Amino acid sequence: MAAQLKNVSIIRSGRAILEDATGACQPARFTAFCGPNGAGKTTALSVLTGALRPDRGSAALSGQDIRTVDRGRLARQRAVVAQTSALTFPFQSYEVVSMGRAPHLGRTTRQVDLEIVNEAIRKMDVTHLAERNYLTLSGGERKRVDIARALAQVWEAPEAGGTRWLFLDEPTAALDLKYQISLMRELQDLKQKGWGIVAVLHDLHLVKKFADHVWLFKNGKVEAIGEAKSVLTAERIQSVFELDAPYTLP
Amino acid sequence: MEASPPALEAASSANLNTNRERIGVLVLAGAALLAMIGMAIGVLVGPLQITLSEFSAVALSWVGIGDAESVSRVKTGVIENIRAPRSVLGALVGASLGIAGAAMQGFFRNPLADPGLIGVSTGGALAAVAVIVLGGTLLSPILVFLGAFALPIIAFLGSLITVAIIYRVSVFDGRVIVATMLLAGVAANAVAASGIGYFTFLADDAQLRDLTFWTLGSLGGAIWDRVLPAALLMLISIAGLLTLARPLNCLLLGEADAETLGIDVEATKRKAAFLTALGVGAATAVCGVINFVGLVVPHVVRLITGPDHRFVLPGSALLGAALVLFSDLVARVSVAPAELPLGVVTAAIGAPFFFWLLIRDKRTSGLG
Amino acid sequence: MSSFTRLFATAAVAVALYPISSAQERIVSVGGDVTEVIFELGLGDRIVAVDTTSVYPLPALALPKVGYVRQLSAEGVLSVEPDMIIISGAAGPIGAVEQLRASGVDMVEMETSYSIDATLEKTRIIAEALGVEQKGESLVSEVQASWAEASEKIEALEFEPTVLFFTAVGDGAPRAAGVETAAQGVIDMIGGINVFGDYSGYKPLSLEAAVAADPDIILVMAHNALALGGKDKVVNHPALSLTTAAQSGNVFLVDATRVMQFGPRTPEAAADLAEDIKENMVRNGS
Repeated sequence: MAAQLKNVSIIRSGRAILEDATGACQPARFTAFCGPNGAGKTTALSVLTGALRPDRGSAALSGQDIRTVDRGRLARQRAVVAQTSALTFPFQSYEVVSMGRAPHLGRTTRQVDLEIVNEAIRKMDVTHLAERNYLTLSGGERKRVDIARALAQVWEAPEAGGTRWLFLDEPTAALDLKYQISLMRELQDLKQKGWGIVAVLHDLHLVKKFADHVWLFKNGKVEAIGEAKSVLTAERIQSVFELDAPYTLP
Repeated sequence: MEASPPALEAASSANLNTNRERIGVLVLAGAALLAMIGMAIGVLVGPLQITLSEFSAVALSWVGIGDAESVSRVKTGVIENIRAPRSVLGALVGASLGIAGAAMQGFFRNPLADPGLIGVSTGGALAAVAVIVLGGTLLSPILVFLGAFALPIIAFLGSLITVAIIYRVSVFDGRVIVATMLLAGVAANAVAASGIGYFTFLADDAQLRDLTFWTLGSLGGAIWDRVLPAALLMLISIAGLLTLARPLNCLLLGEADAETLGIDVEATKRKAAFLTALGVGAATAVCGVINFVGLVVPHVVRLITGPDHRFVLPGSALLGAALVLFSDLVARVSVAPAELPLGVVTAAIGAPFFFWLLIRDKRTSGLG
Repeated sequence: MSSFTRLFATAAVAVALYPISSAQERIVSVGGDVTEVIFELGLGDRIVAVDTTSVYPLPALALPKVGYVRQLSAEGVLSVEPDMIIISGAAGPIGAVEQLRASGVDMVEMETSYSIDATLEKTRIIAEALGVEQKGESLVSEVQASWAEASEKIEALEFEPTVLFFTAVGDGAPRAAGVETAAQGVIDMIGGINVFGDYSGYKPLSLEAAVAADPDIILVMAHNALALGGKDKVVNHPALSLTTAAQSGNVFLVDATRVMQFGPRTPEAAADLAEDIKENMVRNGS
């Protein structure tokens, strides 16, 4: 019941920005997508989340081809934290988090929604920002609110025993070290509760320390998939990232 | 364990309303009250002096209590056939313009948007102007066929066709590209403006006057026969747009995020555009061009309630109704027994107010 | 008829008309020509409100205005509590006119037409509506006599100038009048020929067309010329400047409310206009 890509290719202007990508991310595991800029990691993530339709191949979530899943059901199984927020209207932070409950309209009560939103805000340590205008928050604060929203979205398991998936695109980019570490810890915590975590991360040190599996991308291809320790060898890092010398992660 | 954020703290299990929601409800109640006062004024006040007891006699006769024989036929006629349809029309036109303005601001993710951006008003205006100028010649067989409803019907069709064209042009790969639609709207407005310019060029003195008055907007000449069909369309538009509150909220996060939240973004955009065309098209067809309501009213509501469409949409409808009704009062009474065009009054109120809003709220109005 | 019979007849008519004549104490008059006729019939003091095109005689200017003839407010008209509304054919909008028809107040609607016959017709209709047929007939006779006199004067002038009736609103398109316009009516009265008599209504005018048509004289409404900046501006208007008429200064101003409303003053005004033209026209060898 993994999040899978099977021979997925994405072609733009005749060029394959993702070529024949195949692999599975398991539930109860923290998978990281790594690689240099333009390697195809965000593209692969987009196919997994259902945002991008593959030109070739297929993607499946929890055993079902994503194209066949109704958008509401999909929204109750997986949440996405994008790299940037496009919000330009002055919602208060808790209103933004509350929008995460949108796919549950008609399937939940106000009481439950409020409690979940409350909890999600607490978990991401943005309680003191709840009534602040989202637009006035710093980049890092906004990111934490966005993550809280994603948590609120898939707080409950989709159906008995179903997997909750969280996809994140460069979540640590704007965060202070303190929050980077606490986010990684939080993701591990969720993973232990059975959530499937897939994140595009550029910081290999964080990846080695906190992630279980790694997909290494280069030039639109999946170079390697496997446990972080075995994939992120000094030689491989040198080759994929085009360094002058091999680099060993501490 | 930290305490809940104050906003949610206030929502005890008994009452489940956050602070903002409480404010939102108050605003809706206030706007509803204003709209009702506006309608009452629309029926009770006017250039013709009618006393409260005369009005009561007529009103009671509607529900079968007594007949209004003591009241003169003219006064009864004014209440029933001039003021009543006019109030109903004014309320619905204001509500349509207000809620459509709010919906368009959500659709374009821009607080400066208004229904005119998708070409509703100019399409209708171009059609109306063509009717006014060509009515005696080229279009006369059509006009004879449509009778007294010719102008509103053709204007309405003009609105719908313009929006449909702009919409089609902006579709790529099955999705509506909002940025393209904005530009298409600008282009369409330019084309329509030149078309209107051409017809203005052809018009003779009388037609020119008619044309000018139409582009200034007016609730005058509102008789039940014309009001009821337009009212139906506007009610459908308002009801439909109200259901888009949550989807529009999510749409403000960006289309990609809205999609991952399970919102059918394309359907939302389609409905927003179509319902706007329906309501504003009907309003413009019957009253001519009325500016500023769709732009200013949602702004005012948003200032107090925040951007949550669950309050902004109904609030804009109610406040829009109130604004039009009060503006119409000024239009009807200030130069009695003559009348000012409604669009002049709404612009006179709306424009300075809008400038004030912009200056006051540069930081938090969501423009930056 | 013996004087007794006449007296009896008058009394009978008066009795028969009494219910009607007592009912028009508050008249709303829409249309400058309508207002003039009512004043000429001596009933001007019964008018309680007029439209903005009613500018003659002077008392009319002081009356409350119900708006422009084509943009009436139904309730506005009714708010002055009229018992009769008399409107010219140009009244609008349709909705307001319908509301007035449905209001129950007596309404008399004129048709629009541009000739002395139209004036006589209006006079008769209005007089009948106001219960003063006799006065109406005498006013009709007066106007007929006035017209007879005017026609004689005009014929005596012995000329048939070709005319271009010009109008331009501000920066708007320059236009010339064709048939079925008040302008055509004026041209007919002074015995001229409209160079653009082959189409109806007002049409856009180009300099080429004007030069090709080569009218003897150009007529412009006085208020129009004023808005353009005076007679000089008309003479030098881009659409007219190269015509012989403009270059010779054969441009004549027409007082629209006197001549073009086709009210009781019109015959006299037409004669005056014709004489003015004849006197001041510069002949260009023909």
